[in-house]
Amino acid sequence: MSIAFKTLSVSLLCFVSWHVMAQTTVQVITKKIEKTFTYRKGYEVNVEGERAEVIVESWDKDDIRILLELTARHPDKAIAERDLDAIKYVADRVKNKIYIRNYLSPNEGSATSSTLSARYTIYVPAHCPVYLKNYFGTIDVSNLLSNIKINSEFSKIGLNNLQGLMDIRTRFGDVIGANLDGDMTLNARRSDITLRDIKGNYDLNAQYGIMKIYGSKDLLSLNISAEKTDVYFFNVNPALFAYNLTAQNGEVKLPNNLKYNIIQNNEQIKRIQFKPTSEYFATITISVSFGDIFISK
Amino acid sequence: MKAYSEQHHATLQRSLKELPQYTPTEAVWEAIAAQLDTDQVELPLRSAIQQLPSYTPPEHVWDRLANTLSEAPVSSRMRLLRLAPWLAAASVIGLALLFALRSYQQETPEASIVIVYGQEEVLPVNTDWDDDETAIAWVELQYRQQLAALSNQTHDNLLQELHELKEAKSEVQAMLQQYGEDPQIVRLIAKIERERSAVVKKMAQSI
Repeated sequence: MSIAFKTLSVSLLCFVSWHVMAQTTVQVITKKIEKTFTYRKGYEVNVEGERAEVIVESWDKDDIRILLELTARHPDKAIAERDLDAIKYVADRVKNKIYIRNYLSPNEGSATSSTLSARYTIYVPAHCPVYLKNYFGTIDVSNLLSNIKINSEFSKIGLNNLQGLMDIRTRFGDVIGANLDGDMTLNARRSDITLRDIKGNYDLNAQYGIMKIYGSKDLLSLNISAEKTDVYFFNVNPALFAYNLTAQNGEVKLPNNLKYNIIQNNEQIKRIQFKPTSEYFATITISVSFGDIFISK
Repeated sequence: MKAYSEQHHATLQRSLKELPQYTPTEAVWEAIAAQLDTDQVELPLRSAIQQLPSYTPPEHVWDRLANTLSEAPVSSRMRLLRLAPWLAAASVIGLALLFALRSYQQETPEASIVIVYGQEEVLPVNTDWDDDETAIAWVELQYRQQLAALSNQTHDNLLQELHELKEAKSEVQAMLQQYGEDPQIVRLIAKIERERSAVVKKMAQSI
């Protein structure tokens, strides 16, 4: 065997051995709570998670079903059990609102030392409005036909197949959405935004991120106001839409075959407009400072 | 019958004459006049009423009246006993309505709770994200001093960014302390520290 091969084998063996020796076995204790509420027209679900993974999906039943899993991880089983009791939860209905939340409340004199987390899986009727707040974690919402409102920090957000009003506020939490049809208002700070196959009206505001929008032919209007953010707009036929583009201390890049008008072009500000020849078209308005605008196929 | 005679009649008569006289107010005379007018109007009506035909009730009405009058009077206790079923029904309906209202107001269904035990292997976490704080603080100080000297400013975009990222790091560290060294939270700290590093490098280049 060559020296190189022997050296590589020994190195690999040392690497694997180090990993195996360095690993620690932890006890994982999970408390699984299940509750079901009867749904009536006018009801709404309010979720407030902390260090939580929140999954909301629709189903064809007239019930709201909540599966809540609270987990504690620690090498010592007794400590894991004690710390699991420190995670409290609420799941009640008051009038037309179903409140679900988790929070940490350790017993006096005993701080927690386990790794703790919560996971919500919530099934709602498709027309049930949902309001979500999450602090650290993830949010995944899919297949809803009603209002959705999200206010989260340090939580990655996934939106899939939604219709209706969408109100999203995020800080340090990237948003990835697909197949959205409705009216969206989004305010994002220090978060990257990727929205694919969007229809309807969109008002997006972002700072310190990267925004990528894939518009469909059924997009009715798109207004983007961004700061220190690069904005990308994609469509197979960019000439379908009208554009009002303004970049302060930034660049604007459009397809070469688009016959646009340059309204203003200097170091500080670039202003470009384009209007399609068709009778009906959607308008894309993008205004960015200290960032660039890219329009592409 | 014993006869009575009045003494000091003259004194009585004189006293009566000396009593104060009062004239009724206009409103009184007007009320009397109105009553007289009403009487004037109602006189033909009363006369007509007198001329209305009268009817004698049939025999069975008198019999029924006589039977009712001959029954013993119902005591209040008996009345209460007769109302008892209605009162009971009203109470049940009232309680049901209260229960329904309460159900509408609040609902706490029974929860099904299961505890599951397991194990997993985890790798140790190298918590060295504070090791460079001294160096970062030095760069920030130099940058501030230069900014004040060159432009008489105390704040600019880079300093604002650095401050915001430092606050975000503090929030993440607080979460780490409460909820433990979860890999997802550690990745968040890594992302924030990368952004902080980029800002500090820009500051360092301009010093």
